Amino acid sequence: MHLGKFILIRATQIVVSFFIILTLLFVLFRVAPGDPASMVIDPQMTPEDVEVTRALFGLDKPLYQQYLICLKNFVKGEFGSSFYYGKPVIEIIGEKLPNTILLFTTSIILSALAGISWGKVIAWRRGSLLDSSVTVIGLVSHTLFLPWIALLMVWVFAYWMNLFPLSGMITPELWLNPETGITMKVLDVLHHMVLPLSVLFTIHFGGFMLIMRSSMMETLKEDYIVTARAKGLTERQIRERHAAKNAALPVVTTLGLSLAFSINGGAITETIFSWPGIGRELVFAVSNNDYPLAQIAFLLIAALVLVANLVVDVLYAYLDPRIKY
Amino acid sequence: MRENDKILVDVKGLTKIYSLKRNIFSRSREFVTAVYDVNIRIKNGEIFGLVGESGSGKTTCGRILSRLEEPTGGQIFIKGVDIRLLKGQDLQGFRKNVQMIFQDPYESLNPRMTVADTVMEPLEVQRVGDYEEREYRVWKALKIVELYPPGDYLFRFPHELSGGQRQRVAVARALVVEPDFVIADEPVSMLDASIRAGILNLLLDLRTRLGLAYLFITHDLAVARYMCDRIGVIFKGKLVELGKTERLIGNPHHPYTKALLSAVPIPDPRAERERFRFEERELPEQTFDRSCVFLPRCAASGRICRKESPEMVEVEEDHYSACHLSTEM
Amino acid sequence: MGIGKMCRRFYRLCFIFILVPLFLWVAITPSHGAGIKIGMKDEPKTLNPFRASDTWSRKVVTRFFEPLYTREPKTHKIIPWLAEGYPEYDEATNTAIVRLKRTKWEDGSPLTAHDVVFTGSVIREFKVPRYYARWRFIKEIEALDDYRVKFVLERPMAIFLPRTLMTFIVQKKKWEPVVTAARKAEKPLRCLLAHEVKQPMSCGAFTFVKWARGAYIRIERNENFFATGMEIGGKKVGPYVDGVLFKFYGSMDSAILALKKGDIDYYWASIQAGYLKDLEGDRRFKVFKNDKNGVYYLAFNVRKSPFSDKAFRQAVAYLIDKDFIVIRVLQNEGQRMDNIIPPGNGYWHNPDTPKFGQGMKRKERIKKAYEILKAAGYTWGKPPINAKGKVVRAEGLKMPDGREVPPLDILTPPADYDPHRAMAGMLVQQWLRGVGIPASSKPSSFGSITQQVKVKRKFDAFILGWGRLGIDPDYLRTFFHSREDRLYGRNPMGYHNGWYDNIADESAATMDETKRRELIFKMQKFIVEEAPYIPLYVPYVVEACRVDRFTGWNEDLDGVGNRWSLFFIKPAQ
Ligand SMILES: Nc1ncnc2c1ncn2[C@@H]1O[C@H](COP(=O)(O)OP(=O)(O)O)[C@@H](O)[C@H]1O
Ligand SMILES: [Mg+2]
Repeated sequence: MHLGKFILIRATQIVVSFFIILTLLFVLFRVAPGDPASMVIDPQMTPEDVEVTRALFGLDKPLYQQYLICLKNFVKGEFGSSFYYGKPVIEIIGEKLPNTILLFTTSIILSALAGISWGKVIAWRRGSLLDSSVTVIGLVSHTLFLPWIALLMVWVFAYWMNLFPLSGMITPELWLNPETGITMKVLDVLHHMVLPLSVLFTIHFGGFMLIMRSSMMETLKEDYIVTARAKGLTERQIRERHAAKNAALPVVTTLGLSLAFSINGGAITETIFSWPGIGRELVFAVSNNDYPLAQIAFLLIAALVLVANLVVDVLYAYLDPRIKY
Repeated sequence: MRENDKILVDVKGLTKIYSLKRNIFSRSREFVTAVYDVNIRIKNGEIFGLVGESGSGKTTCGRILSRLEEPTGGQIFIKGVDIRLLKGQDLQGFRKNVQMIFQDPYESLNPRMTVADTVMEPLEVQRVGDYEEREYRVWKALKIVELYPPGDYLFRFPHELSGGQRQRVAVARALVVEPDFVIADEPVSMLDASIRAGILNLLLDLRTRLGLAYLFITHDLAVARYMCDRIGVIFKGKLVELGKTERLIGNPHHPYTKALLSAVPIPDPRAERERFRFEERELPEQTFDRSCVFLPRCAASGRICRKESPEMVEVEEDHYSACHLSTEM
Repeated sequence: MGIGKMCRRFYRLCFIFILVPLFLWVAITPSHGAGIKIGMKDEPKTLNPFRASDTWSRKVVTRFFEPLYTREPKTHKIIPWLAEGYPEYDEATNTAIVRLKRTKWEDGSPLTAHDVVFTGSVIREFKVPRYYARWRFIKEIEALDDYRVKFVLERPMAIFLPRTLMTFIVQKKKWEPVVTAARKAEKPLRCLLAHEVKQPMSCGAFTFVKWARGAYIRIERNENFFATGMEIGGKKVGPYVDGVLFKFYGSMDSAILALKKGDIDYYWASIQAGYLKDLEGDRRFKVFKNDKNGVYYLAFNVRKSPFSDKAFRQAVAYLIDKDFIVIRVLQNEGQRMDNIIPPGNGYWHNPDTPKFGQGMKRKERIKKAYEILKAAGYTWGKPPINAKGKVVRAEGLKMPDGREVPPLDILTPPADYDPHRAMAGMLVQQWLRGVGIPASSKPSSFGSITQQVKVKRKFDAFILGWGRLGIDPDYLRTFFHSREDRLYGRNPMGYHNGWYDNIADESAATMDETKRRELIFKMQKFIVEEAPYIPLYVPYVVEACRVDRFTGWNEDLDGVGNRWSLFFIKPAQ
């Protein structure tokens, strides 16, 4: 009915926006000076080699033709091959994306959960020492300079205290050993995840907590909280059933978009922790003018953000009965 | 004494002082006296009106009486029990006996709960009966507040209801646990004039049918006059006049009551009374111990008003006023 | 929703999450195997040798594929590798016969002349970039028998031995189906290059074991390696390590920490000066400093004035204080360059080239440049040297034809990409302004520089560098030959000189090494004098190795990271 129609309209909007974004990306990347073939500085590359390479990438054709080919392939579901890797873009993304999701999406979920639960507690005890100290901690951690905190944590926990691996996602020696069981491997990955996850958690936690706190403060001013108290509900019941449920709504929006954006990973975190994710690949692709890869990666993010927006809206309607489409 | 004349609520010297931190870092505090030395008795089945302008401490009284707030001083006996001492099971029992209806039906209902959830929740908290019993009670409560047929309303959310309907849900929510005493805090002030009468009549009707006693809080003397058996007029946290409705309105003693009455739309144009003029003079606030609270606004103050705070004095039978000059008037 | 319950569960999860790994590290502290662990900055992009052009792929791929000839460590003398003895060359017919050693692929099958012929044919047929140029002059290639290959050249070519015969060889059996499939594809070359090599067929010192994407590559010693036991440069070829584990570290910070923690034994990249202090004090490490086989230079657009004027270019050369750049910008981690061929390439480097302004003081440089420019007909509104012989601020520099010298942009890579070149650009700008040349350094993105320099060829000057020059000096010809002045050409300066073209062509056709060396020496002297390039500096390759774990590192041009090190290093006792 209403919601169905709404979703349909929004889905069409998404498809249209998607192609607009595709076009913009196409233009943006080609407008940037330098093409991937002529950018190579190698004494062995003859001018003929450069021409051959350009033809290989389809860069010898006029721009409008390149664009049409790009569109055609896109509709056919072919996303092309990376100039740099020579492999289909989908393969590269399929290789890196799970790693990114494992780290970044997990970190968003964990920090959102922790942020929500802490935010509601400190809002409940607003003005207390707990509230002021946790708020300050949240603010500080939210504004921390990521490379700094990451390197510091690596240095302290991985190098100095030797509790965690310095970087990477697995211990090669362990994985190369045929006797290593699957549990060990899973634990090994978890072990590698602890530090980067802690860093990301530190960075994201504060944001969620502060949003939840202020939202909760607003909610606590509402009369239905007093009503709930008059009904004889325990403080805990009031906080969880009446206040937190309503206060969590704005966090849902933030969370939805953060989750969508989390799949582009973070080049800095990935670089410092040598985490084989998509973020570094993306930066690399952009600076190498690896159009197909960069284009698809950005499109993927755009698509996810668009869809996440829709999901958030629908979810909102579901969570908040006041909203109707 | 007849059963009906039994005292249900006995408030003695109720005082509430809020202390506010100026900001999170400062240690100094600011004190706001919201209610000061209020004495009220409410009988079984009686509607007692608490009238005063905004900020005079009406809501605070109501909230303390429903134990949403701790008083700073004074005692409150409901059914002879000092409610300040209630804990655990007894407090739950108290919550069952004393219910509150709030001013703003747009705000006082949780937007994410259906009518059924809202009305049923107190029963769950009170662990009343089994689910069927609760359902029945909810159904009954909705019927009582004239949301008919209840089935049409059960699964609606507050935003799907009109203001009057919402307030009826709020009333149902209060009544579902079958209380003896209901505190109604300006229950119609946020509603359109057209639907006010419906709610007021409903409340009056419920009193008759269920034998409820109300503390009826309002800033509107006309409403109070319509609703209440007795009225207490409160000004800046202090009770300034108290008496049977007709007497208090027909023969007001305190200048503030007079002022309020002059602001009431007068039904009979010929009975025009002299409009009372306010005059705010610059005087320090919070001077309860030394001078009359009404002093800053009083047109007819004498020297004594500045030195002494007036006591409640019985000016005629069951009619009290706290004004040094009221006897002379 | 039960947020409360979720949170409690969440805390419990966090607890487990932190604690379990804490205990874990005790259990899985990696054991030091007999292999060496090498850190790299990036992951290879491919194991397909035809495609492997990036540094990181080559570091791995070259462990598997060997050429017919290679160069001895240090002396860089060409020695037979898969081949037996040197090619028998018949000048009359331009025919060379190369005999092969009896060597084997890792699967035990022999490496034969057919593999060589196949490799060459594929490169020629598909015009594989980077390799085609060194094979295109081969008219015919034929296997005379299993171990003899006949090459017929179109004409004598100097790079035949040092380039053509140093191309890697792939196994025909393994690649034939790939090539057949590629021929049928719409874009055959694209198909060939896109072929994903999952298990390279090695004839080298190591065989491929596993590539865990994003994590590591493991290779192991090839028990059938043909060169094991051979004596090269006085040392016996191993390899003596059981294998190599390549790991990838995105940042220098984590790589250095990994070195210090013992996660890797060697980081295969040059270490920035800032990290050295730490490592130099650590007795486990030895820090090696070697010449890089490259050159960083300032190049001019000689198509238009004033850079078309040799005198002007030389004046600029006098103004540039290379020693200052080396000391201040490189912090002594490099050396000045007065030639295109780096001094580390001892056989081909001509030490006797003009060294403009070496040892001169600032004032002397300005004086010298002033004299040169004045002699060439340049005039000033206010010359840099006043009547009393004092250096003053110069103004209004005019060219001999009376026009003012226009503002000149020096393109450099941006500081975040290469701070050295960006800084050098700033310094050059200041020095040139000292005599009134209105130069400004313009840090620009790499793409933008290549677009202006190589594609549009509209610019004034730029600072770029060549790395991986190789030992063979043929590049000297291509960098300045007029034929390379075209779209994507390697002579974007637009330098044209008939004499140089001739001698360069002659050097390319001279197969006698001694004779060729004479020509190359002449070319160096000439081109430095002409100054279309002003060589500036070359940084050292600084590396740190765990000498307490492995000994026998082979120091060479471009550092210790070379095939010989991997052949020679032995686990320390
Ligand atoms: N929680 C509180 N903290 C501090 N001051 C309060 C609080 N609640 C009420 N007050 C103050 O107490 C006084 C009485 O308020 P209230 O009882 O709400 O008045 P009314 O309901 O008559 O409008 C006002 O001055 C108000 O500002
Ligand atoms: Mg109020």
